[in-house]
Amino acid sequence: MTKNLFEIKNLSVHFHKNHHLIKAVDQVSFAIPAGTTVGIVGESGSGKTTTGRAIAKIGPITSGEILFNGQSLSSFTRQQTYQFRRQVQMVFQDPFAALNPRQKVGTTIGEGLENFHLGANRHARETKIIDLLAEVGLPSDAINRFPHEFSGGQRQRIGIARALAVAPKFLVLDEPISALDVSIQAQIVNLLHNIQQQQQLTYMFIAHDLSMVHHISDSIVVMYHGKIVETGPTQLVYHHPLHPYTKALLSAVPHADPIYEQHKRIINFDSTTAVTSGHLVEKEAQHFVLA
Amino acid sequence: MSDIIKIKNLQVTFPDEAGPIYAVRGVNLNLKHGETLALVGESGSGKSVTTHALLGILPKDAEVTADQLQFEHQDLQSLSEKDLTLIRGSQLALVFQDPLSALNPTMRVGKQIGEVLKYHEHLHGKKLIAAVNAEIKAVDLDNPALIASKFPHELSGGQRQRVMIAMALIGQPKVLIADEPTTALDVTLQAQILDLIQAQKQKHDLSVIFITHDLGIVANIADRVAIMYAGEIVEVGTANEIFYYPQHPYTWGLLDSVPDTDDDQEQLFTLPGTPPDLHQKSKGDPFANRNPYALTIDFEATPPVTQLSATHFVKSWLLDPRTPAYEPPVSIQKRWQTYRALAKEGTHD
Repeated sequence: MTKNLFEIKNLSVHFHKNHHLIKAVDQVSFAIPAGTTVGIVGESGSGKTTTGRAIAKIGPITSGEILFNGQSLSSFTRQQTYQFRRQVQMVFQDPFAALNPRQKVGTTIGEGLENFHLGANRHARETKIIDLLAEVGLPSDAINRFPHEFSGGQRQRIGIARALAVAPKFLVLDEPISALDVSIQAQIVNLLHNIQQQQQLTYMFIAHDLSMVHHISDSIVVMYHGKIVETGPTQLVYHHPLHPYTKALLSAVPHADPIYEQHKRIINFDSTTAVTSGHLVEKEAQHFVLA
Repeated sequence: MSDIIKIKNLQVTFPDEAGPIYAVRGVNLNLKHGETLALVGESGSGKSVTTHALLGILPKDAEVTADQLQFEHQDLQSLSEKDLTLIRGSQLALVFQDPLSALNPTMRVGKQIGEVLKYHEHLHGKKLIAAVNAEIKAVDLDNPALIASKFPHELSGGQRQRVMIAMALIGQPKVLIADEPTTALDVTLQAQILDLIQAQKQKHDLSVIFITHDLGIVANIADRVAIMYAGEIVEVGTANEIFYYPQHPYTWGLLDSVPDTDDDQEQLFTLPGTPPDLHQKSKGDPFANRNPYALTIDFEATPPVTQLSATHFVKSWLLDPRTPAYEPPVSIQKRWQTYRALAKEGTHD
């Protein structure tokens, strides 16, 4: 049995907006086994990103507990928080907004190395940055260039290099491919997969596109209005979806096949009849659905 | 079917510090009355620039030339700015990828729709309010009065895109150009917007140009497909010809990079290399350096256009009779088998 890197127990994140209570994340529990990828899918506003930010300790928590290597994030000492900040990194959706436009790529990637005193001196750090660029498939001269000189896919590679610089254990990948061309999406997914194999990283992959999540994830968490409605091993969730919302999401995925598209029936999700509250029940091995 | 739009030898060049950018390089394209034509390619392939040239909305410093740029019986190049504005405003409508940046953020949605209605139909007062609500209802939004009272940022992405479509259709255009209208949306919303466009197309007898890089969407919506690469159309055909009898190695690459959820492959297919620098006028085939099937001649001479059917055209040396025998990737051979089966049934078009 693999060890869990993260355990999320009854996590809730509530916000107040115009005197309304918004339950962005509502009693969510799941585990992220070390060395695996957990894919989180759901529509905009379903609580995917809020969950990711809570796990990375950069977003608020209303109640519940997040354990990292068995220890609660809320009980961390300053030194432990410092180490956690190095071990957990984020990669964002918009590679255009996530990089400082006035800062050379080398400086952006090197910031983490300086913050965590990695690399003995300037020369060692520069060598490390060039290695990182090579690792993500960018030329070494990128070090002295600015973000605007790169395409969307290349910028996402820069974002990944920045995250990898501090030798993390865990990456929160928040829609890292949504803004990219289909052909570039595949390159980034392959790159993430290869890096994970080489460095035994653990990923949380947040997306609304189910077809790419399928390729990178070992298990899937489906969220709807702040709740987990279904979770399980990727193949089971894909080929044997149990919750009506998962079925609706899967039925809408477009296929590059006109005959399939002509005959496909999109299942509409009816939130008034489906179960959207209650508890997760294990229907088959490791495969849970809200019931 | 008659052509509602005809483009012949369109060239668009942008000035740049590093020399001119040859963004569109001799595009020939026609849109048939009542069809949906998908314009497919990666960022920078010239899809949007082609349609923006047609609409005359490129930046002033862009250099546009064409042998023909025709809408119905009118030569768009010979029209005055005033007449062109009239056609653009009413006959040719454009829906963008990001409705949030296309709508006025400081004006209520109802007022914005009202402005368009005032311009086209000269309505006022209660009649205007009723017409605004009717337009909102026509794109399947519930509670039109409530939607009308909202600011753009208060609507969801799907609602905003519906509002954009409603506004685009008010002038009763003949052609709708949809530029990646679903890219920013979730799959379920995406499917709904595609359905809405199909329904509006039937209702208003529209001809549609649909710009996208997503072949799943193309399979859903297109009658015909034009594949663009580096400012050129490299393959064009009916949806069945492009999906089940593709001939250009770039089309093969695009089809193969769509993930297949039935297949548990470790690595996804990716095209090697990067698109060419558009500052260079390419010698030979611009796709040559990424093309595993490239021949020596691909690096030396511009490929000829081969016609395979009344509707299917391919710009590649592979189809030259002198080219030695080759086998496309297995995934593509499977698609060809489907095409042969369809041809046997006599339903390949």
